[in-house]
Amino acid sequence: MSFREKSAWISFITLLVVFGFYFVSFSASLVAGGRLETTPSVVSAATAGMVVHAGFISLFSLLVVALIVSVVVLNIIVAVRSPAEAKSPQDERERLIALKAKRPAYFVLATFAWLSIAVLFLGGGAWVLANAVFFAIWLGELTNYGAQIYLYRRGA
Amino acid sequence: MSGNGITNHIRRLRFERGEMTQQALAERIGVTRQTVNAIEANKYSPSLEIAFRIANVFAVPLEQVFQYGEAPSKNK
Repeated sequence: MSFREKSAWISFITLLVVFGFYFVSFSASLVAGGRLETTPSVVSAATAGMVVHAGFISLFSLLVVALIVSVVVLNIIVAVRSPAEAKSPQDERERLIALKAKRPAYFVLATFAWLSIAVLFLGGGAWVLANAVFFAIWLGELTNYGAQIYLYRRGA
Repeated sequence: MSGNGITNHIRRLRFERGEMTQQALAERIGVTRQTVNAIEANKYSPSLEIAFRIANVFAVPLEQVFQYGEAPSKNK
């Protein structure tokens, strides 16, 4: 397995685990609330009258740091095991794989970004809409790395 | 990119050059070993530039490395 395929696996799994946890927690809070609106421990933000959920902002920040640290550390471990490959630039097949993976990723991102507008019609506020858009970005990134892994496994 | 009608004799050419490894060939043409493996297995068709580099390594004309036979048309 090449360095860049391992790197794609690292990004895919860490994204899936870290923000999978976030969205499971977020969904659980929506189910517990019974509606698409934030209620408990709400703080007002001065800008644009937005309402944010302090607990989830903290969790989100923590998970972003966890994601960055995990990806960096795991990539360093993989790079140490194959330093020459890690230092070399992408070859043409790797560039093609990266480009080809962007297509389904964009489709998923665009589809779910459009669908997130439905949140407003379901009575969700800005906080839920923001999470729906973030969910679309997350799915798009998972599709990107998933497609890369598929193409690496297939050969190209 | 497999099944496009392009085949190659890289495996045989490597064998004839003292069992040159995929890694050694990869280093000489500036790609990863996995890419050489994908080319050799007809899973990936390289660019013209890489194809010429491979031919140069073996010091043979391009057509002795790669061959093209019409792939079955999907439109028929």
